[in-house]
Amino acid sequence: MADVQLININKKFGSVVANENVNLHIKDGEFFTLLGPSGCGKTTTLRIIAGLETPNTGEVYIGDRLVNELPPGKRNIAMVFQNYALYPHMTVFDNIAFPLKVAKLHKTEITSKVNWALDLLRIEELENRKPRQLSGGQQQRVAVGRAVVRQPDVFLLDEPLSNLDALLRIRMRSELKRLFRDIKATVIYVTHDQVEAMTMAKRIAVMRFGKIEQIAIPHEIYHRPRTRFIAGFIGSPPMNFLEGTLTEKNEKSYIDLGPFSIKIPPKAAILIKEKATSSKVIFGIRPEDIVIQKERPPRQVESFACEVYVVEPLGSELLVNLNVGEDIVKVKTDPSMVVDMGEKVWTRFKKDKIHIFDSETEELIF
Amino acid sequence: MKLRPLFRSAAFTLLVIGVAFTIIFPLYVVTKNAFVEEKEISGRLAWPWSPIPQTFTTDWVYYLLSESDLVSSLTLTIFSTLLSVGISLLLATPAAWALVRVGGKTNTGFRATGFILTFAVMSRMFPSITVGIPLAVILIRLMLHDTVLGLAIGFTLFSLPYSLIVMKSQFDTIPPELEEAAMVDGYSRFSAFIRVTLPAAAPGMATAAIFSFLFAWGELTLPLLITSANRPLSVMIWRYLRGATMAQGSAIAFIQLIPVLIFTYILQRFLKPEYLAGAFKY
Repeated sequence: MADVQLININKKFGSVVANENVNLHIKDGEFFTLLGPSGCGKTTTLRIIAGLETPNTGEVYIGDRLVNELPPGKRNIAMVFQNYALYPHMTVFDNIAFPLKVAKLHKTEITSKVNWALDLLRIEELENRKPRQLSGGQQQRVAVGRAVVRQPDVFLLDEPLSNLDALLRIRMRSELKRLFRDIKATVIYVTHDQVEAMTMAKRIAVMRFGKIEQIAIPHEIYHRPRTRFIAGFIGSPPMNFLEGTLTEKNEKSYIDLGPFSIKIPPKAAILIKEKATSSKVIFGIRPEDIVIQKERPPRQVESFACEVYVVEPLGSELLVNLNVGEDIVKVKTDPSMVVDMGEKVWTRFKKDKIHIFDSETEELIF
Repeated sequence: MKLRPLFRSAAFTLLVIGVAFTIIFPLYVVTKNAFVEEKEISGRLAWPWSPIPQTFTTDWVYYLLSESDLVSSLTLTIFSTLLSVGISLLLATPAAWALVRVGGKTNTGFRATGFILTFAVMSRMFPSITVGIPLAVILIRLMLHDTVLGLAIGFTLFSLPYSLIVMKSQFDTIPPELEEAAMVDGYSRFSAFIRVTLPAAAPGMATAAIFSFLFAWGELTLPLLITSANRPLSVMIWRYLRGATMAQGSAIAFIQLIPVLIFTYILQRFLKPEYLAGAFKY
């Protein structure tokens, strides 16, 4: 196992920028996820680490080795592709044994290692089948088996779960997480699925337009998203955004959202004045950080009357859509609440959970 | 109401039988005529025609195989055909791979791909008779006229564009990830191509080989123009049919038929449509 370091990676395809000043340091034994929408350059980054693409500038280190000039086969990495890329003319056993055969290991050693991988992934009974005789989930296991068998320095996984059906995906998610922990692997995992990233990763790098927007642990990505884009990408449903303006009244600071104004802590107001490009800001709050109730709360609690636009019961929770001016604000609430479309509810925002983004740079201010 | 699908399947079966009959019947007649006595072909046993042979003789085949110029023409045909199949695949496979892969996955491939393919298709628009004479001149200058290699080059000229198009479509269906997986697993790009991509491309190669073989094996015009003393079998048949009997013609056609059957039989096992299935998930 080894750590992986990318220093100032730039990669262009024609005029398309796939990677711009990408800097990453993935620690030894870490499960690291590259997360972003399709076309954000995350797969390119992975392919650069693998050696399947050459960066225009920048350096790639695996352990202490500068690997820029090394072909993929010499980097001691293993990769699981989105479409698995199993060798169609070989049996499951031969597919998994392939990297060992290329490395010219002794036959008995190959057999014992392949059997270990077959056992680890619980696919012993499939060893003599051809890829076409396997189900999607089994193919996926074989692809992972081919990767783990060579005990590489780094595992590179490119959306390995995206071709599985929803149920299997959830199962494989936890299985893979446990598997890579058990073999103490350094894993770089590319996905566009924020749930996969949140559930599996130790750290996440969120990418957009070829740039890394934030590198942090899942908790921080969720609760302290560095940009509006990340806040809107993570969470289901994602964060609510409302446009507002900083106003001051009686030495207290408010954000005027149109239908009503929200009092903000003095510290937030100072930060807005210091950092924001104008007094216009974007107010953000997650659906679970809004409290709604039918009775009016006491006067000293700041709350606003809103009309219910639609109610979506999800079983474990209730998703209430509120009309706030022109916008819809989604609220996650207890499923026992009885509320109907068109009703009026009293809405309260958890003050320690509000986010304020700059309206121009869209970066987090508070 | 159930009659309709029944009728349709019956019609389809009849159609299949009809098509199979059209293909097999002439082959059967030729084979039969190669092994029956003269009187059954044009003598008193010829009419009414019977599908079941009434006489049997190996005289015709035996006679032809004892003729030295016919044996040498058979050898010439086999060698020049196999050589042209070989050259055609050897050139078309890497060329098609380059057309599909060069430029990388994220680019749109080799820029000139469309132009080269159009050019390849266009070259097939010229009938062999228009190409034959200038080709003969070139081959004479290269001292390749009337040689196995010269004939093979002539055949390749026509089968190469076809093989290129077939191989291009074949490589289009093989995701680049297959090669990349092999490269990550330790192979160089070249060995990944040889050990992983080529086996996956076997159906396309078999198709290209069969078509190249059939073209070279059956082509008459081109060898007429680019050979003079050493004639391949197709020219010999044409000659025989002008001067010899129907029985001799049938016998030589039969001899020409056998290698085609063997060659196609060997390669047909690669023509499985499910050959690649299960390797990738989309």
